[in-house]
Amino acid sequence: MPLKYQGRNAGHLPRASLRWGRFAATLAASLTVTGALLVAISQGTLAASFAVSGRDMKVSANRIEGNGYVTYPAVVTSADGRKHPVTVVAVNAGRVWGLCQSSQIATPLGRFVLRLSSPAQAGSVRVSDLRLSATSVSADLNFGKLQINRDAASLDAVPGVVGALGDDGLQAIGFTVENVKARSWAVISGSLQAQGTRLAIGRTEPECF
Amino acid sequence: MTFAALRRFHSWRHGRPFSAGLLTIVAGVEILLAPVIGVGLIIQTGFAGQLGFLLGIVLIGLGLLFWTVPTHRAFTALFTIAVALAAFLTTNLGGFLVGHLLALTGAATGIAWMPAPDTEDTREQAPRPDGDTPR
Repeated sequence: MPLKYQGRNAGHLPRASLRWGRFAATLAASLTVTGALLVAISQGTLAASFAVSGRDMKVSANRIEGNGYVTYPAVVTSADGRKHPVTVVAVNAGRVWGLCQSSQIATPLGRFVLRLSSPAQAGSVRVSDLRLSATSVSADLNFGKLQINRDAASLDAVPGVVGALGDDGLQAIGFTVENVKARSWAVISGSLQAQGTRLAIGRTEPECF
Repeated sequence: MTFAALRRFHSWRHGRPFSAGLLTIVAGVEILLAPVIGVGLIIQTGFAGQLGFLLGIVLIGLGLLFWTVPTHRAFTALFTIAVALAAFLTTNLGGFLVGHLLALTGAATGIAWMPAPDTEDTREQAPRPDGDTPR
């Protein structure tokens, strides 16, 4: 609110003021851009990137098709210093139908479920450089050009994703997996282009499975 | 804290877009921590996580700029909006929208902020011909 000029000798401390018209105009302009970006993301024109890690994360998909599939064992260290064995599952580039990712977030206000989902009928989601640090995975697999028990350090189906020397690795050039259900410590996606993606946060939001 | 110190803080706070800087700093911290909030787990988070870290730090820096160089608040605000939009696209929708919205609000507050009428900051404004008009 514009403040009345009270003069140097009016006996009041000079106070800074906010021009609310400018505030509203700036906020409206930048929110308009945000809205346009949201529309572009939900229509799949723009890619959004996500990095989330959490102990209660669940990832599911009806079907994943793509090229470049790598899996190997690894150990992640949590902030309290404990080590947790995981299976790293990485996909170089692919399409996902019915992607759903949910995690529980502990906040001072209680536990909230955050769910990112793209219904199967909305078409496929394009992903690149998708990586899960999974504690359990169940899926119906169909691999092409499969290499099992290859040294984890020599894997090359997904550039830059290799395990430790001496560990068992598995990789495939082309693959289809269906009915994927994974519990994961972390989901990393280089890019994710989706149509009809829905981001929901709420106490009563259902988890993916 | 003594009354004099409170008073000093009060006059420091009113000499700059304080809330703009504070909102921007909180936004940066939120975007920085969004991948690990509430889970107590820090592991490699890939490109989006690293960029979130970087953009979060840039936002904290911009918040400090609001405080240290109030005369350049319009530029700081524009950069803040640009960084917030970049974070929105590249890192978890800018900390799941929270950090993004905080940064935009901070930037708008920075642009809307006007210094007290008789501080030296007003010298950058051309004096009005009818000097006594309420601004």
